[in-house]
Amino acid sequence: MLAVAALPGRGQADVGPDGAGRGGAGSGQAGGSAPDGDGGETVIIDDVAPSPAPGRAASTVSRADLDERLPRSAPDALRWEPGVYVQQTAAAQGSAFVRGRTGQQTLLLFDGVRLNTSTWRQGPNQYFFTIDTRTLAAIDVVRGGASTRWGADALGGVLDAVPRAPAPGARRVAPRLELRWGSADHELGGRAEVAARPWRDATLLVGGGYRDVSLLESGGVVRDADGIPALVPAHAADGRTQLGTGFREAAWDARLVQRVGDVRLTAAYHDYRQLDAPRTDQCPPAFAPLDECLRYDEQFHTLVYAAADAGLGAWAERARLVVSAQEQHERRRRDRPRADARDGGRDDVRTLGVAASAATARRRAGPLALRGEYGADLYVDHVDSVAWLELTDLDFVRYDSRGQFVAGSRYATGGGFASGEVGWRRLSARGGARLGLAAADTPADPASATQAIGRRWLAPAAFVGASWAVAAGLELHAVLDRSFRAPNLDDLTGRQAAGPGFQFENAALGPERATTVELGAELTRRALRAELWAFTARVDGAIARSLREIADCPPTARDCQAAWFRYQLVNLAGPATIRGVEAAAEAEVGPLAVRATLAQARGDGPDPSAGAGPARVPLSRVPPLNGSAEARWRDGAGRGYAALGVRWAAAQRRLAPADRGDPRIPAGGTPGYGVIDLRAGVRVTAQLRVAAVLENLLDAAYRYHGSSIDGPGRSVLVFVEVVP
Amino acid sequence: MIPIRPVPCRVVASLALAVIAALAACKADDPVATPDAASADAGDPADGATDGAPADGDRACQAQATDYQPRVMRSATDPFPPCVSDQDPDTYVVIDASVSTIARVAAFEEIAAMLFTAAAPPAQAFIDARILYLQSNGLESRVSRREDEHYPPATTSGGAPAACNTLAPAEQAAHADRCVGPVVLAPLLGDAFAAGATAGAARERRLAAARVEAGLLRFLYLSVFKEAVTCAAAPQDCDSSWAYYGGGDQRAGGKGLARYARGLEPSTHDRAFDGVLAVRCWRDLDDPADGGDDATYAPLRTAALAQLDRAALRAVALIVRARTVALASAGGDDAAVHWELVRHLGPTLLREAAVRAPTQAVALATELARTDPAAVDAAAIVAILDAVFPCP
Repeated sequence: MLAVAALPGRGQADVGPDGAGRGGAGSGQAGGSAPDGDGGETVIIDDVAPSPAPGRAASTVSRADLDERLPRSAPDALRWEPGVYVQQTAAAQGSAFVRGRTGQQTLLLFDGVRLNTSTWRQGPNQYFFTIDTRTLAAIDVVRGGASTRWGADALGGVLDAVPRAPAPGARRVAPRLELRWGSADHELGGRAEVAARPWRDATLLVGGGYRDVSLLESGGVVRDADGIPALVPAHAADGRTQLGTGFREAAWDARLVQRVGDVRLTAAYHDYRQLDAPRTDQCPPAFAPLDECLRYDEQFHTLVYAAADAGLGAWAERARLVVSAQEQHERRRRDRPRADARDGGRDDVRTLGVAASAATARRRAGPLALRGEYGADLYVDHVDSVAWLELTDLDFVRYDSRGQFVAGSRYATGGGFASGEVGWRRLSARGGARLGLAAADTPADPASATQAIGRRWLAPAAFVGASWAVAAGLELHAVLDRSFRAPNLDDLTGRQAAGPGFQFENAALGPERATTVELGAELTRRALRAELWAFTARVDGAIARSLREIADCPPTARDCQAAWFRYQLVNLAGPATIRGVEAAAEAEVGPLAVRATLAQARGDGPDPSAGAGPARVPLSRVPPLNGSAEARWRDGAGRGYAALGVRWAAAQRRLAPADRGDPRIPAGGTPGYGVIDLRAGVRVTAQLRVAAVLENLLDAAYRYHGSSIDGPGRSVLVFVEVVP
Repeated sequence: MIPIRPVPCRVVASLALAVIAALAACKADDPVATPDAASADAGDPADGATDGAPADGDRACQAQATDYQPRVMRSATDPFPPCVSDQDPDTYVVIDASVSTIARVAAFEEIAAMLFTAAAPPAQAFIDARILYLQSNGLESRVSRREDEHYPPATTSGGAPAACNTLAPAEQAAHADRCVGPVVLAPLLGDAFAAGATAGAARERRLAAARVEAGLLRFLYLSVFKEAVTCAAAPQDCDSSWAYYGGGDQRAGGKGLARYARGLEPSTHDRAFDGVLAVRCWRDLDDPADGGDDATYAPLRTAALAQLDRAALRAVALIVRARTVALASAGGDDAAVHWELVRHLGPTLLREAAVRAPTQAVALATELARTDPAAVDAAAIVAILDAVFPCP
């Protein structure tokens, strides 16, 4: 877990009665606080792991937040976080933009295990959706580059899904059941789990859940500035129900924690199965018949890992070794019933990973306080990919010579890092470096004019930072970070439809390097907590879509030649820059609390299509000015709560050249919106808890910029938890 | 002491992957590929396209006063002010360097080589051709959405104008003239490809090929006009109109519909190419970069569209005429194949025929409704075509 130094209270987490940390499967709540030595201030250190990113812009979605907000998915859970903006290409997908970057340029973790694979495409992707929020204790968000600690791809930020730990409490076996229903999409689902103590010093959590989600009803059709409806999604006759939405999902997991002396051993298995999930902007595509649909028949993610946490002395006070294996499986089909045809494809990525890290004890050297962290990691992908066409009336199937990727491709990324922190009186300074390596190997496919690839990149990263406790409760931060992303197999070999266009590979791509400077101020005064961050990120070699001519298409790629637009990923000729500010404040007086966030990012770079347009153009799909506000009352005894929340965004009119051909974005840009939610919950008895969200109270028609789907209309979500 | 050998990394990796594979069971199986039959030999599409030596056309045909005439003193004597098309009367100047329509017409040519042959194509040829037809953003994707811009827009059941692709099948059927792609052409072509792939008899495969040819030719004609119309809102559609006519070739060449026109009557091809240039000329004059939609140029746009459509219709009429003539002198399967094309392509002409000569249009429709080629009055059809569509 990221274990970011968090604002007091923000890092609240469920702590199991066994003290297993915030990931406890029990229902108690507590904030963990620890004295921080010199200054005498109380700083919350989240959980037990060393902090890889102290003094950085960060936030945490706690289990309590999840229980109250009832998000539809892991990405949905991030909508209230400063500097995070969640785009959705489908009801069963969601991609978090952090500081204007998403997909390949943000790093997703599960309990510290890298989820990014080498086939993650440019732009938004769906993979964070495959994390079951019901299994999570928290989601940590670090904004800004973080490659030194976490490796490649962490240019915009890092999202770490922290799993719940088994916590049966005083019982040997503690079952739990939750049910959930939503009116906007007729969602119906639940989860059953059992926490247990199977034997001495061992705890176990086993659970499974299922959800069936139907078509999503919005607040109405989102229109452009001229009142013309966006090209996608298609609506039913009521003008509210969005076609190409809905899905089914099943998820199950098991987690065994065994203590052996001072060593904590964890074995975990998480499996997520999503079925029948249409991609909304392609179901149907703009201008196509209503019954044409691209659908993910199967979107599976399986993760197995074993971890050992131990204290190995002063030089490795907190040591962790994780060995992981995971598979990302996609099976999709595009139905064209009127043509009696179906395009199919399957992509499988299997990843083996190993990561080791350790943090030293805090040491004193005269007036200085010293602490260090070091480690190494390696993840290796193996890719299988096929594509075919079926003539459904003839029972005929023909395979293409290659799939979206080239079967047999391999990709490796990893490296070693070291960082340290020095504290002196009210000052602390941090710094660190990583030396990484990335390697891509792909066989040739002459039939599709795909060339073999054998590329290697050195992946250096580094950061320095300083914090100054100006006065009691006020701390200033400055960070300079250099992060790294090597092109992955999608960039180097991927061929795929991109809206009405077609994107083809660029085997000659170079890496992206982001240099981020951020300044922050954090204020903690009694009941008031506030933070303000300003950042500027310069990305050299930024990878972006460039419009291409037909003559540039691979010779045998008919799809490319017939497409409306042809794209190829290129390294921008000059630096791209993203600048922005993020602010959050919260105050708590007795049972009342208010919280507000605001974020703005503005990105631009050279026009990727050389010779066209002005010298610099906006970067693609950078979110507009956005924010949130919440007011909450919590019963002091923890029996109930009520809250009012507002999410809003200004219009986004700054469009990249590629955005203008994107049917997900209304002509001229996405209009602004404001959405009000009401939330309430009560623990009826010790065994029964009920919660509800009245969503989009004013029934606004709204869309997160770049999304294919519009937000749910006025609706209700109901949640019931039973602990027998 | 028993030596302990380190476990190779490959073994560890294989075991780990096997665990994953076991855990990730319950996936659907990939479909089994269907083995190909004998591959299709490419024939000579021109043989089946023209059915006769090119004619010079009617020398009495004259350009209309409103026509754009780049081959006459580089348009100096026509109503069109100087424009981009004047520079070279044999060259269309593209608006966008990349014209994706060219790939679709190239697919038409490949299909023609497979299916539009004198001999019966093998069943496998229909499958290969259909795969070309179905390629992403290929012919099928446009056939299934093609609207005939000669008719007013379709409407929803509530009366609101709507694109055909947004309508339910019943609503489309209620506007079959406008929604000709999804209602008429897509089913015709889908059925023909399937029939050819499953037919045992050579005659049935030839008939199926004729229906494919008729359907695609009708699609090309409709597309030339549709793109010229929508060029008003999307300038690059002018490029598509040009490409749907000649596959991206200039005047001296010509694929698709242009190949047929050139083969049957070079003067019709020239007039059609003049029409393509006329639309481009109007688009250049009424430059969208300057705001576009200038009412001053509206008459030129109307004239250009009429000029292009008149010539393209003449090209279609020539194809129908040539096959009708061939029908008259053929017998057996050959006659049936010619008639199959005529009766499926011929209705393309009925709308304009009803405008020009209603009585003859009714007679033509009556003939085209016949299913038995032996009952067809070929001479009457030829006479009607010559009378109603005499000039490009």
